[in-house]
Amino acid sequence: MADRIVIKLAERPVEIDAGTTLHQLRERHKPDADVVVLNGAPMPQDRALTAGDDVVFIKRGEVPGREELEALMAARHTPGVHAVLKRSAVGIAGLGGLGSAIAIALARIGVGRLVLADFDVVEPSNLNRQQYFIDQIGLLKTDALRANLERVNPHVNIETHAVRLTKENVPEIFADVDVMVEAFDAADQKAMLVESFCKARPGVPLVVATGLAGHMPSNTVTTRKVGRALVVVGDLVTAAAPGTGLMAPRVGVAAHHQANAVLRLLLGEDPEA
Amino acid sequence: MRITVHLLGQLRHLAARDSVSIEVGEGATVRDVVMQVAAGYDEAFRAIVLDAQGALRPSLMVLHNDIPIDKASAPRLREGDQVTLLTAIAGG
Repeated sequence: MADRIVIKLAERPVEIDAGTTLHQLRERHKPDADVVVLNGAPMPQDRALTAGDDVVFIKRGEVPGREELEALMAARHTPGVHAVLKRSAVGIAGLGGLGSAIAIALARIGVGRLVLADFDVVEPSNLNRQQYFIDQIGLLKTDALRANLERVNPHVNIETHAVRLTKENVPEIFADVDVMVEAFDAADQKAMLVESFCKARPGVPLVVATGLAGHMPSNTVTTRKVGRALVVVGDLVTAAAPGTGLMAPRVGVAAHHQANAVLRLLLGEDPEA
Repeated sequence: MRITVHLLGQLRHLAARDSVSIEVGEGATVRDVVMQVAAGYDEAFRAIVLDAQGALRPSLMVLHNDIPIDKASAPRLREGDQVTLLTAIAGG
């Protein structure tokens, strides 16, 4: 009886005959692939596979289907984590430097539904920190971000609201999110969101950011719980002002603190510990 | 009745302490608590929490017993209550 070995093909375990080569495997599973990745690196030559090899076949330009992407995420994140994220809904108020980066991070990890709100358009001055492209200047941020998110993960359910958020419409727009994110620029709006969301959805976690300007050390941005359902990210003191402008690296540090806090909250973990 | 006020961020920095215990009368509101705390510190502290007309600044975030509240509301304060003050900082 021929020896059998187990390899990984697109993150799934597959049993094959010992001595099977890469090109033989390709013929069997994806004959139209034009890129072969073996153990994380492109491999143009043929060679025999060994137990534990990790193989990916890619046809350039082909968008993976929902099932394939989900299998990849489940393998990468574990099936349990993926299942939780897939059924979760996260609201993001403000789609600037924080909000656009948070949305992309959550789309990449497969959060099932994103509720996004911002009234603004993409401006040239945004490009030093916000996740938009130069050819999107003038577009509504909701439209531009939707297009970008669909290029990252087309299987996320995206709901957008191109409106100025107020105490009156926050409860309705974010009525059924599991976790809420505050990602505004204006200080007054940050406090408004805390008051209106926490009043309408008591007990639902809210992750806010305050104090993230300039280029102070990354470790000055922290995540801390304040009270029962409020998580505060930032250094709590550094405002955007002449001389301490908002810049992609530190804004990104804060945004990913927020995104990771959201992830931990969705998984039932302490965002601070 | 005695109320503990926790200070975060700029307020903690300006007060050089992370909490203060104050005595307030029955029926005191959150605004009364903030005014009383602010009276104990300098103009820089007061300017962060109060506007020129003496109203609570919109950027001030207030928690009552660990729960964020609408500053316009008037939750009844009780002996031993905890109030947390944090100012939102522009930038995002």
